[in-house]
Amino acid sequence: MRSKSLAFKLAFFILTCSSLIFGAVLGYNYYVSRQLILQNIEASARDLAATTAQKIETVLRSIEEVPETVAESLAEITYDEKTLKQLLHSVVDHNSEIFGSTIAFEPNAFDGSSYYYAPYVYRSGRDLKLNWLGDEDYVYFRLDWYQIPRELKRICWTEPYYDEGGANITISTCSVPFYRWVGNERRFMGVVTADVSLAWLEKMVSGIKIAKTGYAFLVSKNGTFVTHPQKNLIMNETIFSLAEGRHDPLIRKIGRDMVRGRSGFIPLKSLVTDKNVWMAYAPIPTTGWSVAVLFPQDELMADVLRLNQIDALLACLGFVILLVVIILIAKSITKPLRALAYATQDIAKGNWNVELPKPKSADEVGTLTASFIYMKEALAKYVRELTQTTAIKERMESELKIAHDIQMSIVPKTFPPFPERKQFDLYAILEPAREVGGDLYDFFFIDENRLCFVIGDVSGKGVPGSLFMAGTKTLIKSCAKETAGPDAILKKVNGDISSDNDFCMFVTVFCGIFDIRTGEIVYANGGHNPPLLIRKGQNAEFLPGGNGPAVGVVPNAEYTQGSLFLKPGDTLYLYTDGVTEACNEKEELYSEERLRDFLSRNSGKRIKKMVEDTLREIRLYSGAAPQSDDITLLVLRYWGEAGAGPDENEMTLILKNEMSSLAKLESALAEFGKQHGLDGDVLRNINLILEELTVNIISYAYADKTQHDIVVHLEKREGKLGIQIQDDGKPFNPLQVPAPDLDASLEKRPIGGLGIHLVRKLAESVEYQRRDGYNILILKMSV
Amino acid sequence: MALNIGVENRGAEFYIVCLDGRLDTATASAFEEKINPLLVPATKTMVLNLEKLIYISSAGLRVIFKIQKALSAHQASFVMTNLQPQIQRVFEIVKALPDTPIFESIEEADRYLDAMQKEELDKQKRSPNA
Repeated sequence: MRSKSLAFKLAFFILTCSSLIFGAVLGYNYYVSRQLILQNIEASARDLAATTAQKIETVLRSIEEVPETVAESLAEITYDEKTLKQLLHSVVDHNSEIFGSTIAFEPNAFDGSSYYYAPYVYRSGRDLKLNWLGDEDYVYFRLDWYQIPRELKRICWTEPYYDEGGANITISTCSVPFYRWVGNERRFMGVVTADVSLAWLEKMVSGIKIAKTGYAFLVSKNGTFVTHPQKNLIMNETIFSLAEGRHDPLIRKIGRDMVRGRSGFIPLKSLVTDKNVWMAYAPIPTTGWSVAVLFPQDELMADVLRLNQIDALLACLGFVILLVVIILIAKSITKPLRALAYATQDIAKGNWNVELPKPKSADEVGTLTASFIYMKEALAKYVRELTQTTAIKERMESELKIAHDIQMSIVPKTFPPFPERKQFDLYAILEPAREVGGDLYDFFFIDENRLCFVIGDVSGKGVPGSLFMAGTKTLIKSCAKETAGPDAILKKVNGDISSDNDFCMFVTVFCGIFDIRTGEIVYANGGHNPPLLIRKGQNAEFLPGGNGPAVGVVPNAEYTQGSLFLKPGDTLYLYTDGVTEACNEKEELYSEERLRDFLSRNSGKRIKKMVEDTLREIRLYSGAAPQSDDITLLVLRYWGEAGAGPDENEMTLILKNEMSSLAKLESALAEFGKQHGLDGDVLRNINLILEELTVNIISYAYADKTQHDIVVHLEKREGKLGIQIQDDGKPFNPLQVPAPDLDASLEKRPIGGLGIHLVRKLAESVEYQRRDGYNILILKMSV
Repeated sequence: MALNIGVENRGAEFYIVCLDGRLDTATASAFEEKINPLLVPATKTMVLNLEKLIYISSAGLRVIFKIQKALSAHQASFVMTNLQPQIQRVFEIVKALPDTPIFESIEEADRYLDAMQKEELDKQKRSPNA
């Protein structure tokens, strides 16, 4: 259902709902109309039964009156035979309901001589015939129609009977006793009868038409069927024998009611048609009979049924029309939606030129389409603008990249900067927080023996900072050549900057002039972080004094000058606040104290290493926090006038992780060996050890393809050589590599895996450490 | 310092290979490339003259082991001569020596190889059916 179309869903739900509603209405309507009709039927059935009974009653009453009248006249008048016959003749002739009539006398009562005297006039075809009743075979005194009225002394109706020897048909006889006064005695003289033929009764009852298959029947006071459409029942069955035969207590109950002269209304199964019928019955008091009328249910309900069928048909027709209308409506809704969906798919593919369907109506779909059109145009505009913005951004980035390169190129970057000057070492680095920064450093000889060095930090970073930085650097350099001391340089620069400083930018500068012959440094500080002085073998200390305002803030500011002497091995460490104000993830500053302690711990390192380690330390401290400010470091180490140079007993080699580094290693070792007069074999052993380890690191330590540094440090002291090799590759302890099986046969012995074995055999001791993401292997051997 | 490889061919089955310089990671592959075509069943004898080899690393050892294995598989003779002390030390560390005869000079190696050859011929004479 979920995947079906909107048209299907709409049609399904609406049609289901409306058929349920219509079904309920139709059902209720059928039920109510059926109830109403049932009530009508009951009333009219009862009515019909009563009317029929009444009708029969009336007829029977009128029949009764005839013999009654005759009987009354017989009480008064003595007729002769001829008159008697005429009387009978006229009775039958004038009363079409009467089949025959007799006046039956008591034995010898008519003339004293005739034992039987009962002239009987009856219909035979169209004529009337006369028959004398009574002989030895037809002793009428014993018959019901004669005996019962004689005994009851009142008018009586006999049960229907076949009058053999009399009428010779089935009849019911109405008998009236007549009497004569003989003295004081009212003597019974005989009976006057009027016969009603059953055929006539039947004709009368069957004249009652009830629908097509409805009918009526009569039962006598014994329950015998007097008339019934099924002829075989008449006179042969009683309603009770029928109930007995069918084991139907309902029919027996009805029979009892009818015989007792009650009326009623009851649904049952018809005996004739075997259909459901309603039956109403009513008594005929005269004879004690009962008449029943049966109404066929289906015929009477046929109208209701037909009405409902027509209703259902109409409903089906309505549903078909509804379905068509729903589908049309759904189509009119979904068609623009579908068009919209296709167009949107095209747009999603980046085709902005797709024509969206025009909104045809102001309904929701129309509004949606209009919104889509608006969205498409807005998106297209946005994408256009974004493309432009991106292009601009890319250009800016590329320009910034160029600016970065330019900025990097305006600070001296060749180290060692003055290889011929053995009196000192100098190393500096600038790492902008963004592409370009506002930090600066510079160093240059202002005469044969005096080196001017500067470190500075412009207020502000990025492009404005870098522009100001470039200007300041140039200014300082030009001033330094003309001006006497650092204080004068700062004063001049301050004057120049503050005179024309609309943007109120300023720069903190530390400027020093270093005499390489004496080790004297005179310096002035324009608001810059105090540098650290590391005396050889001692802890780092902040350089006091020489503080003045930042350059560019106060016009005509004066700067004081400080001075110190560096002894051989002393180091001056200058930095910008990007170092001490570097933040970790908790926004805690790195701080000057941490820097001082760090330098105290690392004072023995060579200055390049010291700088690199500082940067690494800062990065470790910051963790995931981004570099917030430019970082600049400048470190100066004095070796004295004699130019002691670097510690001759040590050598540090930085090797790239590529095989060509092996040649560099070899030549550096040759140089080291020459310096220290090392034996060729020893040197080759050192070379072998370092080659094996370096090749291992280059081949296996790095998962990425980027460049890494492998740091090799050699230190020769008192006949011992210490070798340290350090890499930032994945953790690997060569000492855990099992020794190869060298005693195996030639075929089985390993071809590889010998390098580390050689290293362990050649060195006197090997020690492995994993520290701060570095593999460090420390080896010792005698030389 | 690079490695010079000299191959002297004394008849189709006999090679004298001279190594001059350093046999290390940088030069091992060149040596391997050069020597590989000689490691065929046709080669019966190979003498590796290491008189002028001043340095060897595990990469170099690897190639020499390969030669040893290949020639031994073909029942060829492989000898080394004139090992420098440092080279000898390295070979000792990795126990490369027991399987391969080492001689002080080419002449000594020649004598040994001649004797071997004679012995082989005698063997064949004694068992002509072989």
